Amino acid sequence: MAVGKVLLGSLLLLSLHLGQGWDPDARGAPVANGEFSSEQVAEAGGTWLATHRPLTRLRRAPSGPCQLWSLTLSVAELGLGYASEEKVIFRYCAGSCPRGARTQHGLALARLQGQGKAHGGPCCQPTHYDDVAFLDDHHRWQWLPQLSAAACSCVG
Amino acid sequence: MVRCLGPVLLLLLLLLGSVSSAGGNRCVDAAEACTANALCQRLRSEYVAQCLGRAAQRSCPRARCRRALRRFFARGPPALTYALLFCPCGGSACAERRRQTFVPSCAFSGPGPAPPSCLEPLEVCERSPVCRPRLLAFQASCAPAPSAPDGCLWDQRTHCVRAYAGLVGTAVTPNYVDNASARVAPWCHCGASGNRREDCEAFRGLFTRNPCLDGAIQAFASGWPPVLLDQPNPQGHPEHSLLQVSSTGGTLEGCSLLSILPVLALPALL
Repeated sequence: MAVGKVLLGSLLLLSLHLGQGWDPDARGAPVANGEFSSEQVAEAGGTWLATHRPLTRLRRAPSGPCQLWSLTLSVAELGLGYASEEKVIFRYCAGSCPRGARTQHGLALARLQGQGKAHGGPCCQPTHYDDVAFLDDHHRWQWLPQLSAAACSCVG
Repeated sequence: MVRCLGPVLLLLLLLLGSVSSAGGNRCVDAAEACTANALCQRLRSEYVAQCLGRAAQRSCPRARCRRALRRFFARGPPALTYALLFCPCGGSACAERRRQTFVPSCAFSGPGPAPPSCLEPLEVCERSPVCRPRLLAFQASCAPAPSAPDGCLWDQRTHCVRAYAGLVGTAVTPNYVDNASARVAPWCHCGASGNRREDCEAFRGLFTRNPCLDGAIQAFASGWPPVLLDQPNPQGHPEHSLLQVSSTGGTLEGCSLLSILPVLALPALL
C-alpha cells in the first residue's frame, strides 16, 4: 500500500516535471516572440534562428494572459495558395482573458458566466492588423492586406 | 553586449547562409532581413501596396508609387534598404528578383510601352524640386575619378551608393537592365535625340558607362553583409544610424561597433 503511494507520488512528480519542460514560457515582453517548440524557446534572438525546423504541434492551451505571439513562416505554410522563397512574420493573439471586462456588458456577462447561467467568456482578439507583401516564385509581387495581427485585446 | 546578440546572430546567419549554400539567394536573405525589422517591413509593404494600385485602374498610380519608394529609402534603415537594392547575385533567379525589387512595372517603366528619349526625363528632373538636387548629388558622388585605379575615390563609394539609391522614385529612376548582369540604366534611350545626341549620351552614360558607379555597387556587394554601420545617416535619425535588425524591433543603441566588427571580418577569413 505504501509502496503504491510512493510509486503514484513519483509518477505524479515525473509528469509534472515533464509538463513544465514542455510549457512554452512567455518571455514577459509585450510581444512574446516565443516559438512553441521546446528547442526554439531555449535559443536567444527570437524568431530567425529556428526557421528551418518544422514547428511541432502544440498540445495545450497557451498559459499567460492575452498577448501577441509571433511566428516566422514560409509563405507556403500560410496555406493561402501562394508560393515564394521568402519567409513572413505572422502574428496572432492568444492567451487567457480575465473574467472582469471593461464594459457594462462584459461585467454583467462575467457575473452570469461565473454563476453558470451563460456560455463562453471573453476572447483574446486582434484589434489592429498589418499588411504583408512578398515577391512570389514567378517574380510577381503579392500584397496581403491585414494578414498579421498588430495588437491584441480581450473582447466580449 | 547581450542586446547585440540578436543582430549579430542575424548577421552570422546571413553570412553562413551565403557561404554554406551555393545556391543561396542573397536577395531573398535581404528581403527576410527587411521583414524582420518592423520599420523596414512596414515601409516595404507600403510601397508594394501603392505601386500595385487598385485592380480597377488600368495604369498604376505612378506618382504615389514613386513617393512611397522615396520614403522607403529615406526612412528605412539604410543597411537593410540598400541590401535589397544591391544584393549580389550569381544566378538569374536572384537577379530577376533584384530587378523586381521596387515594382519596376510601375515605378520604372511607362507610361507607354516604349521608352522615351532620355532628354525627356532629364528635363522633367531638372525642373523638379525633388529630383534636381538628387541628380546633382548623384553626378557629384559618382563622378569617375580617372586617377584612381578602380574609377572611384575610395571614400566616395558609399556616397555614390547612397546617391544612386536617392534616384529611385524620381523621374530618372534607374534599374537593372536584365537578369544576367549588374548593369543599370534609366528607362530611356538616345535614338531620336537629333542635335542633342551628345547631351543624351552623356546623361545615359552616367549609368551605363560609369566605372565609379560600377565599382561602388561591386564594393557594396563584395562587402556583403552591408557595411554601412559607420556612415552617418543623412536624415539624422539616431535609430537609423546602425543596422537595425532584431526580432523585437529594438535598436542597437547599447551595442558597440566593436562587437560587430569580428562578424564582418568573417568574409575575409572564409
